[in-house]
Amino acid sequence: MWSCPIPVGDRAERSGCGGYHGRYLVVDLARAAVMVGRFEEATLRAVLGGVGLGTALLAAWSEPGLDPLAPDAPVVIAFSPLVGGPFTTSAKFAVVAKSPLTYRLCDGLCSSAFALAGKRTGFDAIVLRGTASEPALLVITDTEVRLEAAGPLWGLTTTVTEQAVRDRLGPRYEAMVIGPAGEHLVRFATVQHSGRHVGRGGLGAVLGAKRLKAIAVAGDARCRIADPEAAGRLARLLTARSLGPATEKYRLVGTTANLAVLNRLAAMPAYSFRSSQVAEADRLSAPSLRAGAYAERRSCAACTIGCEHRYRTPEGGAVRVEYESLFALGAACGIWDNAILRRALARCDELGLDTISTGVTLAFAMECTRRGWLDSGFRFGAADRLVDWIEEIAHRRGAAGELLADGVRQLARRIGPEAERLAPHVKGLELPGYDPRALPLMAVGLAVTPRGADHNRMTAYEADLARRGDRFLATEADVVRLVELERRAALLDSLIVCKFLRKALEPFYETTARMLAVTTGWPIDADELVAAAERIVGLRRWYNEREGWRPEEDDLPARFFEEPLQTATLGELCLSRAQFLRLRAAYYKAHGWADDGSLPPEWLDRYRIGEIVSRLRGR
Amino acid sequence: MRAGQQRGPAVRVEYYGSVRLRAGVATDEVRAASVAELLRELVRRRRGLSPDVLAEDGTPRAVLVVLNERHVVDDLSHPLMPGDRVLLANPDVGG
Ligand code: SF4
Repeated sequence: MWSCPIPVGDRAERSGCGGYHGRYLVVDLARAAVMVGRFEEATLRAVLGGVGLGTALLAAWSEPGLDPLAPDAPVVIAFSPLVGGPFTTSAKFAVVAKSPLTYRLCDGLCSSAFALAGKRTGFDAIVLRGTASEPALLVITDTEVRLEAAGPLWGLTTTVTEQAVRDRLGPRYEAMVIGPAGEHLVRFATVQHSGRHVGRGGLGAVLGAKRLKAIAVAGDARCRIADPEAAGRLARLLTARSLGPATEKYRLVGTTANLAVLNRLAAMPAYSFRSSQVAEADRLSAPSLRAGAYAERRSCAACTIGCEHRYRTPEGGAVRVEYESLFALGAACGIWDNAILRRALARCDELGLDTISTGVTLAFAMECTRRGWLDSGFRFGAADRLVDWIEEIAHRRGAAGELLADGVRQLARRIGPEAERLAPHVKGLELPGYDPRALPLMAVGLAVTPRGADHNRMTAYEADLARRGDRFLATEADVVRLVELERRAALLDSLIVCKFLRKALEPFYETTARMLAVTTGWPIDADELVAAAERIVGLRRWYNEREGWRPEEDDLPARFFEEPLQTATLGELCLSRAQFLRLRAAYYKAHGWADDGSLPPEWLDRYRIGEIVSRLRGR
Repeated sequence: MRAGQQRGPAVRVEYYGSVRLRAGVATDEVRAASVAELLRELVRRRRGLSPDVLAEDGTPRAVLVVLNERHVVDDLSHPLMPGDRVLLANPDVGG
């Protein structure tokens, strides 16, 4: 369709510090134009990479209020200073855009060889704007940007598309792709690379709206490492720790281990959040899953942990099974048939659907049907229909496609106010597998994170389980832990290092500062990284404010305060509105934000948010 | 008291995640008067738990200890009551 060379001068230029190329690429799909932007070192040092850098670029390159699926809405792919270096679990990239599900920030992470190949294009980030005139494959190397017609790929599933791209371009290329769900603008469609998904928030639909079926990258540009010997020594230490007790759960069992223990703690939502502790859960526990179906353990590129436990599907393939997927498609829908669930997960992956949003939306339709609010065939436990419903959603056809492809919030709006009080979402993002009534600090975490009901950008459940004593009696003093977890997550997601390594990084800020210092050559210390983490936390919130965030969005559905859970071991559990408001107020205060959660001018000045974004805007 | 000789109320222990793999069993029934005594007995009984999950003296290392699904145990001198349930899981529940 078109190609643009990268100007030779732009190719030769390199950053003064290690770990970065010091430049980013902007591709305008509609105008067949590319532009190379430069980063100032101060900007990189302030927002690092990954979600930090991606959010800053998104803010700089988009006009406020753009519809996420509008032609001019940008999507940013951001790498990090550690990508391509010696540290375990660092082959990761972020995809950042405005979510078509929440209309707020969406920053997804994904692993593997795309990150390595993408950074070898010679850019620290890629900003995509505009829409291709027909289904397209975008190819980016260190010498040119090319848009190729991809009509024959349109309609293909994710793995088939990835293979087709490799067949077309050669093994040197790595591709991220969308499946049919992204093409049909399903608002929780994913982006896949090598079996891993940028899962939440519908970034697959953002690429679908641009008619981008795939983005392929390759190149030979390398970043230097400031102190290779010190980096090597630190990398060996972290690799050794990554094989120790701190990551044992992920290596030996995987996240499916969470199901049995969360169920025991009355925190695993089932039947669309009507229960949080059910006897049936045993059928989905890790030992039950393993029996006769375990296939293999795999890892992302450059990872020594290898948390990816794969199980055989009835069709003869294998699929990665994670706790969140089992919760959403299994427990939330009252489906306890292991084999059907493996098949359903494989279909979600192939069609490019977020398993959490798919399962939680389906389960909510089941609940509304049960309550007589929706006249539909969605029934809890209907295992024989699950895969058909998934196909319908991905292709926006049939009842499931018509009702569910825009997520829980839209479904609830169609049904009415009663359903809206119940609908399990925050800011439009469907809740993950932690019942807020059983985890009071997690309840606050789910409410306040910019991405919506999100378990991953704060890992707030850890605050509940790190609290000594009765976990239901969390007080303002415990919120410090919540803020700390959020900062750590922001740092890990910006550096980028896998969260599953987090327990092996102690002392946390000193270790991560050292990783960054030996890579970049910056004399960076723990205090500077704490400040960078806080800046990135606030930057994400600032983006949402700019896009119209209102204080009442930092809340949970009324149901969680009104409908108690009945549990076998802990009796009746309900979330106290007064406790929630106290904890939320303490959370805002701990950050130095206003009482309503908005960012005061002095906070914005202190962290130079406006300056950082406008410098990127000025390029 | 001789090693292995138990007294105190009967308590049910449940293992989860990789802690269960190390213990080699899903549950245990133990008599112990306090959490510390219980953990020491578990070290003696389930050799795979030490030294990574519990130190030789029973001090928790990489493990979350929850009493009756509600209390995250910190004070190892916490007394145990008949019928108490003690859950041992990986500290990073979630992810
Ligand atoms: S621990 Fe798991 S998710 Fe993290 S980098 Fe390794 S394989 Fe990927």
